[in-house]
Amino acid sequence: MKKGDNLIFNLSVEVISNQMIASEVFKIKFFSKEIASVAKPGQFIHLKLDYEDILLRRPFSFYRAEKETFELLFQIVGKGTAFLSKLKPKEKVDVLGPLGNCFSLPNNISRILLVAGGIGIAPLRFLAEVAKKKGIESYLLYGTCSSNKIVDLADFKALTKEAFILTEDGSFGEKAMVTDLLQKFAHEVAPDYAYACGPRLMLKEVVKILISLNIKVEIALEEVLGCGLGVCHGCVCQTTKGYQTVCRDGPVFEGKSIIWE
Amino acid sequence: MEPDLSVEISGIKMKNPVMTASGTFGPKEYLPFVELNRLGALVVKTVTLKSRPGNPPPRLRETPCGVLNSIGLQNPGVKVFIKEDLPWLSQFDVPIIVSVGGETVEEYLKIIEFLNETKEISAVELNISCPNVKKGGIFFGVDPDEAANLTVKAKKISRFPLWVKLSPNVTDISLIAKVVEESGADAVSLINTIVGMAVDVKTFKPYLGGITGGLSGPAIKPIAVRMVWEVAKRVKIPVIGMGGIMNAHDALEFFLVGAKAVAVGTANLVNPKAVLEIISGIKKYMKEKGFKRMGEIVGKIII
Ligand SMILES: Cc1cc2nc3c(=O)[nH]c(=O)nc-3n(C[C@H](O)[C@H](O)[C@H](O)COP(=O)(O)OP(=O)(O)OC[C@H]3O[C@@H](n4cnc5c(N)ncnc54)[C@H](O)[C@@H]3O)c2cc1C
Ligand SMILES: Cc1cc2nc3c(=O)[nH]c(=O)nc-3n(C[C@H](O)[C@H](O)[C@H](O)COP(=O)(O)O)c2cc1C
Ligand code: FES
Repeated sequence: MKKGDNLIFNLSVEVISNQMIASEVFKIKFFSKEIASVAKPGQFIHLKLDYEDILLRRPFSFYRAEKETFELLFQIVGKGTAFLSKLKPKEKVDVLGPLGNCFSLPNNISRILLVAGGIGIAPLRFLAEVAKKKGIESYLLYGTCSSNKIVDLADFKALTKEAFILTEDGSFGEKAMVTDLLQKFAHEVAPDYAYACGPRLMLKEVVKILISLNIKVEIALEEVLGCGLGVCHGCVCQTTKGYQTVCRDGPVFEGKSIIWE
Repeated sequence: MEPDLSVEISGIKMKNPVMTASGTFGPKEYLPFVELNRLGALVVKTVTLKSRPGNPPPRLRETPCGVLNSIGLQNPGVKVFIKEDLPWLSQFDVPIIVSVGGETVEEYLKIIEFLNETKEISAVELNISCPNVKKGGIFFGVDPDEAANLTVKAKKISRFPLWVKLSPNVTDISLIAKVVEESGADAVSLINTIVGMAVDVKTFKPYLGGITGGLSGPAIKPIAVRMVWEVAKRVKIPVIGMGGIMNAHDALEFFLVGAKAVAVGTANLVNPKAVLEIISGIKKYMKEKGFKRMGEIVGKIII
């Protein structure tokens, strides 16, 4: 895993747009040349949300980063994300980042498999875009609980060689879970490398399946974060190298290095 | 004229009365945001004799206006600290306070012996108040006899001034403060975190891997201010106040009740520049009110 650039900014950045693009899922765009120009797929930004009694920052993966702007994709799950969904253009947010390491995307690969569960699509979209620019073909397996949670379908179709979408309730595409179809999909695609992000239980299963197929996989993990800078040791996960911080050693880990509880 | 923020604690001259609280500030990681030479002092993460992996995750849980943590003193051990961190730290013009933790009296003393061999540090802070380790830690901080016994022995061998960090998880914190003062402590710092717990009603499980954790942040500030007030009335040695300090006004409350210096913890996790902003805020306040020295506000609460 490549370490991200050491450049970390703590800035107040302006919201450019913020819109609901699926049920309780929002896309927010910020203006910041500094951050947009160094952010890498897999890295995240730590937002300070000055709302009621919220204390800690909230982490979000880069969904997209272009010359002067970056975008996040988030799902409302609590107070912080509810507040974030109400931010309007021109309002400012204190951000810290880019933080964490990034997906590796080695040079000698030509096709990759992306496995996304729900909001886990966020870091993988950015990865697909960077891969495409490098001439790497992506194949996406993307599952959500229902059709109203699917985001930016046209965009993914354009970024990937093939995007296979499914829902748990069958309201769009095949009625299945990502893990039900992964074995078959991965076998057909025969990728050089795979990347996954989504709920923990899904990731555990995804790693197991891909390892059995001898496919290297990197996953982006979530933990409750404190500092985001690798200082407080509040965000560790158990790995073959002992406890590692999700915020600094991760959030991207080699699938085989995680010891699942 | 610029107000003079300098203070002296146990013979250590500090440019200002604001330091970082143990376990919440990484000098290397915070370097892009904080000019270390501007800090009053730097209290490093508690070191133990051997490396400690820390507690099982999850280790953090936000609660209203606070954070519960169950880190469990994860650290690489005193030898690694001396070899790898201390030489780097010594390039800065800031007093380095080394927080030490142990499971037994012997462990505390051995760590101090290792530190005695170094030149770069200004004081030792005995952490007798960590609520997140099964053995030692808080055990020494909640029993006056144990606290006294450890302090006497540590003072006897330490080449450096000895600070003792007290636990709020006691009935009368000023009693423990008095006891460690009589046992030779050169300063007391308080408070460490308050033992707490939070439960997920969806899964019926505690949120923290360590089940209970230490509560910090604004939620504990009124308790911390009260405890510093009680302790400052009872001891003559300097009192270092902490607990929920997020801005200069919070720090000033602690000075008014008698803290000679303060430490900033959780605020660093939220705002990497917190310590610097607090220092400038104190300066601004003093200028506006026409105070020239810290002595004009420390302990000046009007009751
Ligand atoms: C590296 C990283 C990248 C992430 N990227 C995204 C993303 O791109 N889009 C997205 O929607 N979400 C993402 N998350 C999860 C997101 O940070 C949480 O959903 C969010 O913090 C919840 O905040 P809240 O105040 O709405 O929820 P609350 O439930 O009120 O939060 C309470 C506490 O739990 C923490 N928390 C709650 N859920 C999670 C979670 N799943 N993971 C980590 N901490 C959590 C919060 O930070 C807070 O400390 C990411 C998490 C990490 C660690
Ligand atoms: C993540 C975290 C780690 C901590 N680690 C230590 C430690 O190693 N040693 C120690 O003496 N106190 C430790 N503390 C306690 C703080 O130094 C401080 O006493 C306490 O958090 C109260 O101050 P605050 O509310 O400003 O954080 C820790 C606190 C937090 C939040
Ligand atoms: S959040 Fe502090 S070390 Fe990861």
